[in-house]
Amino acid sequence: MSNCIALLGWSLPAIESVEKLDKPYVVVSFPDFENYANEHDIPFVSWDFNHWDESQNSLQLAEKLKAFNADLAVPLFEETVEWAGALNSLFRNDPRLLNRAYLFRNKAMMKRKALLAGLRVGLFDEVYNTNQVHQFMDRLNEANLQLEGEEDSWVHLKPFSSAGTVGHKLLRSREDIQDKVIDKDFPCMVESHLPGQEFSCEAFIHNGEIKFMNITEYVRLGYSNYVPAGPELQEKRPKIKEAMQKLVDAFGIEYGMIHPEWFLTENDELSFGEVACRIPGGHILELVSKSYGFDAIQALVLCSDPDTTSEELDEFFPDDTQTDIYHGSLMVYPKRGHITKLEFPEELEEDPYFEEHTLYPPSPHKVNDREGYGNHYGTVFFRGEDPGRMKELLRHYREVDFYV
Amino acid sequence: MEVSVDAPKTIVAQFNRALERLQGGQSFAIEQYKPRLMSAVHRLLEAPGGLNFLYHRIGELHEVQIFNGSAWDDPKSLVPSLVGGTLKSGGEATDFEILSELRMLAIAREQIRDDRISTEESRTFLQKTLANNLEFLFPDGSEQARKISDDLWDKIQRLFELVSREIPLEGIKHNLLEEVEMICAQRPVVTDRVHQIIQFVRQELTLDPDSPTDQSLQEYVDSVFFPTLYLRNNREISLEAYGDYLELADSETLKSECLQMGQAMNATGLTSPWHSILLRKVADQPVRIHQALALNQSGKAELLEHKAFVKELIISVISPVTHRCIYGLGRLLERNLLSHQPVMSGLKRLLNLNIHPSIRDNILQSTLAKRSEKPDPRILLTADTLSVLGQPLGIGQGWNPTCQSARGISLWSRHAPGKLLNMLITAATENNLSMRFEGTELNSSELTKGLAKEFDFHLDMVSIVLVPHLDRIYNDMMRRCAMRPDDGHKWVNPAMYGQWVPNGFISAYDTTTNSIKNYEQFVRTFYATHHPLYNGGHDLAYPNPVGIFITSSTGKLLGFHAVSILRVAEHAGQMRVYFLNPNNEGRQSWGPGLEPTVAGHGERYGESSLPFYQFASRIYAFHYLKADLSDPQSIPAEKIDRVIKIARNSWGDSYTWTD
Repeated sequence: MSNCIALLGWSLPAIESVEKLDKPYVVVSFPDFENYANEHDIPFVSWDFNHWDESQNSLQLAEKLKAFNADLAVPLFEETVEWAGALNSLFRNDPRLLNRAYLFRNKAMMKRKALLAGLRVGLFDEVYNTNQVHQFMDRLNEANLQLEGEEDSWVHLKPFSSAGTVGHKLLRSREDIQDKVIDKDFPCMVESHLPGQEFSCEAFIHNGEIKFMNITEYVRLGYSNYVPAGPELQEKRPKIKEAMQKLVDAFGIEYGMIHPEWFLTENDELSFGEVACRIPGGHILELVSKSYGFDAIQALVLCSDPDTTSEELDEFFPDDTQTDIYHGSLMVYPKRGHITKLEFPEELEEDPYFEEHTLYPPSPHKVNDREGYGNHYGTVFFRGEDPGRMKELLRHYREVDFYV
Repeated sequence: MEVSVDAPKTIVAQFNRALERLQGGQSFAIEQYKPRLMSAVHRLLEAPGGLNFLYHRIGELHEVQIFNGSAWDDPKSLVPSLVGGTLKSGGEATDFEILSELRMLAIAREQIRDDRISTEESRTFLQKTLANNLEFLFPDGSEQARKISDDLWDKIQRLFELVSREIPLEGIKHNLLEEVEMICAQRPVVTDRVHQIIQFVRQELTLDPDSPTDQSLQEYVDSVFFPTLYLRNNREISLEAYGDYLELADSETLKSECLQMGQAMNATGLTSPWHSILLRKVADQPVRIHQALALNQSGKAELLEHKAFVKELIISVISPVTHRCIYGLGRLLERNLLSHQPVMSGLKRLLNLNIHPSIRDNILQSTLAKRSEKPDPRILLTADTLSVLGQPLGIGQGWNPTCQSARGISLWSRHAPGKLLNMLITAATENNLSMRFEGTELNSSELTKGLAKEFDFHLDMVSIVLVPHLDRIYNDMMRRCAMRPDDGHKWVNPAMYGQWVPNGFISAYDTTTNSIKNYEQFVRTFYATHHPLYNGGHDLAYPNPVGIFITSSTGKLLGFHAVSILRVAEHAGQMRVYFLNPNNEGRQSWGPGLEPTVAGHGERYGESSLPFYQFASRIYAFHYLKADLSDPQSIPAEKIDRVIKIARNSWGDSYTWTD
């Protein structure tokens, strides 16, 4: 058992879960949270993850954590992943842990690793200027045997290290490259469009072995998903699990949780999208916890700890193939422009699948343009037994304006 | 006990689940579950039965510390007069405010306990809240003008119904009496609120003739509803029937009616529709007018000098709708303003004014106009002009952030009534006002909006016509001074208000560094120019516009406000500053221990006052006559230190100080 867990990043649900584990812990996060932490007796180390130099690096952070006797770092957010890697490298005296963390933080490096492992990926490249994006599209069009007058092949542009969909741009044509790409985007990665149904997996790994795996079905990326996935995806579970283990082996992941995104084509082929090793967005862990009946954040902590025994984990995890209750979440973003009030549809309140929501009437103001999927205004939670109905509801209410 | 609520069971379930999680969780988890809890609370408050449901669950909400980390955390620090505004703000603040009242109610009813506040204190809080928010308990005709959605209104009203059901209304009698007495002491032009309270007392409370409080309340009820013995004996009589009675009355009866009516008005500043009927009946009998208006000798002389015009004013302007201007007419006569030629001709012009269509529209949006069957903007405007000229200290800014404009109208009414009438006539006919600022002509019609974004029309007609224009001009003048190294009021006040404002100016606030500079010198200058012991015993000639800091009940800086110093005088062995607060409520608290009074400390009608040193501790800028400046160093250090200490310990905390 580790002495003390350092949670990297501020997350109240995570703090609450770890508190219930009854293990010593310390939260490392931005100075903004220090007052709140002190007020509520949360052990806290203030740290700016965005700043790195000779006098503010993992050695100093490790020094600060000594006071807490911390010997395990668990990253909660994207920008804390390499900090956790560095700390764990120090704690376990294993320099390669840091390198592995970089794997999650550089999407091009990640893709190369996957390619080397024999996972199916799209065509991708690192680019440094707009011209190279054009050249990439050229080569892609050429490979797709484009004829005069046919549409360009779609290209996705992604920053190397941003979480989820932040900075993600879909370029459907040369005009798009002209209009959407700016100097600030570079360097970054470009890749071909992967066809198929997108979904994610949440795999809890201990000693290189997948102890628990959930499949999350995306109804619409960034807006809605539900857990576990419907029967069409569940049917492919053995194939998915096989690919997952391949990924775990190739990346050399020993402890923790990973959250990769995959694409399943009509002829049953799996393509690897990307993988993160932090708390997924879209309330996915909450949905997982509710559907299977365990605390997924505790699972993350337990799996991150090499000293947790296999028996403990077997005891902890429920059977990941047995659940017949579905939980879904719909993130609500107001449309652009002025919004003045919340109009929560009555039929949704009455719907047996409606569980709860966090929407609140706005104070009148202008909604700014969003970057990535930005911050949503609130979430509507669903719960029910029929995945078909779940999908239908998530699809329907995605089109409803809750804020007018 | 289960309380039924007509909301979907999913919402109730969401509420229960969130509450359960909080009950089982750690103190820090509150922020995490609050959104789910509060969105359920929001929905429940909209549903019939939801308020009751939450009232029965408030103990549990209190236990999980739902108020922790919010402005409502400590019940002891809450302020009854702020409840209404917060409730109207909508959104989360409204919901929290409602929960806060429910908590208070549960404490008052001994259903829950809180170590920070006693049962008695929470009951007092709720009583004061009721007394402060009678508009919710007893909605009046101004509902249309209140600018909040029907849903929100219903939500708030349900809360007040619950509170008034649970807290005996009899218990707020002395609050109501104090409220009425203090409002009347300020002799406001707009008297709707005090009428509303008196109406409430009459309809809802049983008054005990043996209780002194009840007796006083009864006197107010009588002065508004039954101001004469005849009316007290004929309570069901109509206005027409009273007119018929006066028609047939002999001269002794008329005299008696006039004397009683005048006496009732003189004691309270309040009038009634009866009064207008009576005045019209006696319009060509100056002696009776004199009695009905309870004029002093100077007013009587003025009346006799201008009896024809007074008759004309009464016949054309005074009606059961405009009765409130009767008091103003009396005071105007006592000020001998009709003998001031510009006032006389200005009033005559007003009676025949061709009012600009958009000004007409504005006047018609007023509460007064909404009370009339066929409102005539010209008559309404003239009527309120009588009030504004008669009661310069009774002018208020309503809910608008336009203290500067209200202060200006008051100043001109006192010292330049001709100028005021001219401005009024120009604005009303041209929908424009022009002023000069450092050689440039500013036309309000060409300027963008001022400070008031949404105008509250619950004002007198003079303000309704002038304030939108004054506000824009003031705002533009300030804009022109924005980059100057000193407070813009240094230049704006003299330009805006006129030559009555002295050119000497000092500010303690350094706009460029957002700090307080040379504060000791500042306080010394104030004493040396304003304190009769140190300024050579001079009186103030004209109102002096000053800027003050307003702080919360805990002493934190809330913002700036504008008032006018009217005079400095000794009362009961204490030097006091008497001033005008244009915000309708001269009792506005300026922070802990600084509670201006409006009566009982030598105040004249409409004046507020504070001990000199307390007033000094809140000002940050004032004007002075350079000739008045004696030796600032002659003021004893302990007097200055006392002021500095109060300042530093309250608003001063929000600034850096440089000496």
